[in-house]
Amino acid sequence: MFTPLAPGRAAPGLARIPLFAVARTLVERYEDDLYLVKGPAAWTAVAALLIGLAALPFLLPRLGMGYLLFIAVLASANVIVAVGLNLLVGYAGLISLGHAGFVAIGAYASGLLAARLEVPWPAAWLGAAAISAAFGFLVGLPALRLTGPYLTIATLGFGIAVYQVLTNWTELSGGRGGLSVPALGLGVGGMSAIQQLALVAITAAVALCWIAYNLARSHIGRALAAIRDSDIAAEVTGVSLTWYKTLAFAISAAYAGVAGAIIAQALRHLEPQAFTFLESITYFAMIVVGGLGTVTGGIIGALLLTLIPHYLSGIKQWLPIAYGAVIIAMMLFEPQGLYGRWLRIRRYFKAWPL
Amino acid sequence: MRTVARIALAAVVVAALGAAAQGQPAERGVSATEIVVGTTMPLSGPAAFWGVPISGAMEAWFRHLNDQGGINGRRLRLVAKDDGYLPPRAVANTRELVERDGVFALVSSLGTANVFAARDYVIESQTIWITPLGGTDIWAGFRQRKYLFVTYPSYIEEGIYLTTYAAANLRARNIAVFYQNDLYGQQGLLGVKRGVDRARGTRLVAQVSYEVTDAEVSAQAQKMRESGADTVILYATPRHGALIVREMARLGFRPTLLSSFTLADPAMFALAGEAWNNVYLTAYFPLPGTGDARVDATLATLSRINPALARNPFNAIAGVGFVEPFLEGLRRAGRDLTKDRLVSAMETLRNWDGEVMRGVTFGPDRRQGTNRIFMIKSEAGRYTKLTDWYTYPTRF
Repeated sequence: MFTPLAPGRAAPGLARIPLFAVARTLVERYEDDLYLVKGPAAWTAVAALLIGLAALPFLLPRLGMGYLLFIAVLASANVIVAVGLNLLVGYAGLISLGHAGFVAIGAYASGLLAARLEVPWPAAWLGAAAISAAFGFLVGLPALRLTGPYLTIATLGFGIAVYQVLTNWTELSGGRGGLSVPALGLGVGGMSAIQQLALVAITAAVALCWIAYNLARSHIGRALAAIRDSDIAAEVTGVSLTWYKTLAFAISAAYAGVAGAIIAQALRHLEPQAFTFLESITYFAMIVVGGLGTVTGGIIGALLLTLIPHYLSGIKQWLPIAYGAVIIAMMLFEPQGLYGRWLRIRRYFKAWPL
Repeated sequence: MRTVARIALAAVVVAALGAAAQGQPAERGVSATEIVVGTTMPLSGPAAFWGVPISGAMEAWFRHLNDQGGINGRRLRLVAKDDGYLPPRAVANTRELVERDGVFALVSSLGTANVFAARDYVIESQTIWITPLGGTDIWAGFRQRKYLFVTYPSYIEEGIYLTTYAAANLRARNIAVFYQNDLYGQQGLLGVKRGVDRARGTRLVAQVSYEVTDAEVSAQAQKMRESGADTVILYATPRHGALIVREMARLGFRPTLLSSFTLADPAMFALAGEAWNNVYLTAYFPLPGTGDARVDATLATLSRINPALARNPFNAIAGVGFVEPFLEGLRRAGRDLTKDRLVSAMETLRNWDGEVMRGVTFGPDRRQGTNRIFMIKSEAGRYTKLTDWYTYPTRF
């Protein structure tokens, strides 16, 4: 029998003291396994990360890097879209190539709510999430009948339809002339507008990632994974396909809606051209590069594909080619994405020197 | 007591270091030897055929000036960033240009959506902004424009001029507009509508739009033929302009053609062929190859420094035109350069002629540096000047 190394109990001998804090690998109760963060070392790391992120809007301008705040806002929005998309594609196995449509709906919904109805920003953002989720539910309905490439084409069509409606329904969206979004008073005193927006965007990204982590580990996440692996088997074991497939679309769309609201506030001028099919592909590329079916993978992919175009803008017209090459290479050599590679590296060092 | 003395000493040292680090209280982007200017342009993506020659020409022109010793002993340096014609990247670039690269002034920025997205930030950061390329009419009624200087024509005024000219000189009665569905095309359409209201006997029989992503425009050509128009006015990209005139010629529909100055690129002759004959266009500077020695010399200089620019003469020359008044402002502001001295110097420009831009005027209440255009006509692969300057009222 094993003797688990619990805190407070002295280790019997030097040989039993591990070098790294990987002692708590033996789990005795199911609830212990469910903890998102395990052990004091992990808690310290999470706390440091959260404090670091919260301090970012204050720290960057002090360090003379205030220009990075806008990129932090864009990165937060992309992280939210990618994590939401990963719940749909990576967990539920439902491929969407129309996510720019949901982002556009969120952006225009928040813009219109703020501009026409003059609602305060939290209401505008929640409204954006709710309206986007409602559209996600509608798109989820055909997903009950369609699978594989047929569903992909349906979502593709949805994305293009949203673009066309926003272009041509001038009374609603302002058409190609654009829609001006009023600056939302975020109500945080003593900070510049971009600091406030960065703080709110980062907070939203952290909160939504936390929700995604928990969704993924709950019965919802398991139901989605079951549908992905075999929807007949899932239905036989009592997973309601109708409910979970539409739920996956609605949640994913709600995430995209919040991201859209952030983008609307960052740009303050919306134009349908910013939400084309190409954006949908970029979102899809984020989760493929980062790692399908993991929340962390979505975060990594979104951060990378936000920062790469910015720092590689010097290579100009070669950028799309570099982009495509990276994605093909990832598919060939790292089908589990960067997060999968990281897990394997970690496993290797855990087992070292074996 | 000793502690107090030590603290006092430390404070003095810190203050001295701080003062030393600051050196002379210089203006951002201006050193003893250099002036840094920034721009964000589509150097890749769907609008690269504008962004690449314009920024290339500005860079070549800076090098030409630097070879002659710069301006007031300072060399000019252009920091050009690629935004791929995407507003988020344009804003990120703009912020980085101001806050990291520390530019003295921003030049241009291309695309209405990009200009709108960057506008609040540029205005709030009180950065000098030279000719943002996104429809000048958005600035009318805009108050905080102390550091803004625009030398680009108004599409609305141009549309009025094209229509009234066609009515008075080309016997235009039934007018159709072919326009791009965005702010550029919509402003042109608005101008034509106002022109139709002014010119007696004319009416607008069709307004036909296309999307910038459209690959072909035969339905639009058909629609305009069926409208019975005798005159067609174009607000399009060179590619779509060429497509529509060729398609109309194929249908045997040959109305009087007029077009915005955006299609004055000589590349149109290659794109549209014979169909680009007898087209009436406006221009806001003398076009290369139309007998203006200074413009031709400018193009020769640019082509010598960067041979690729010779393939895009219109956009290259326009690129010089965008920065020219600013460079004159720098000359007039003198060696002791600050932001506000530049503004005062710019405001002294009265009917100033540069190598490309002519008759540029700014003033304490005037930021619209140019308000005149003239008519040209395409004949046998080249443009000829038809009229003298037409001047329209300034609005900002």
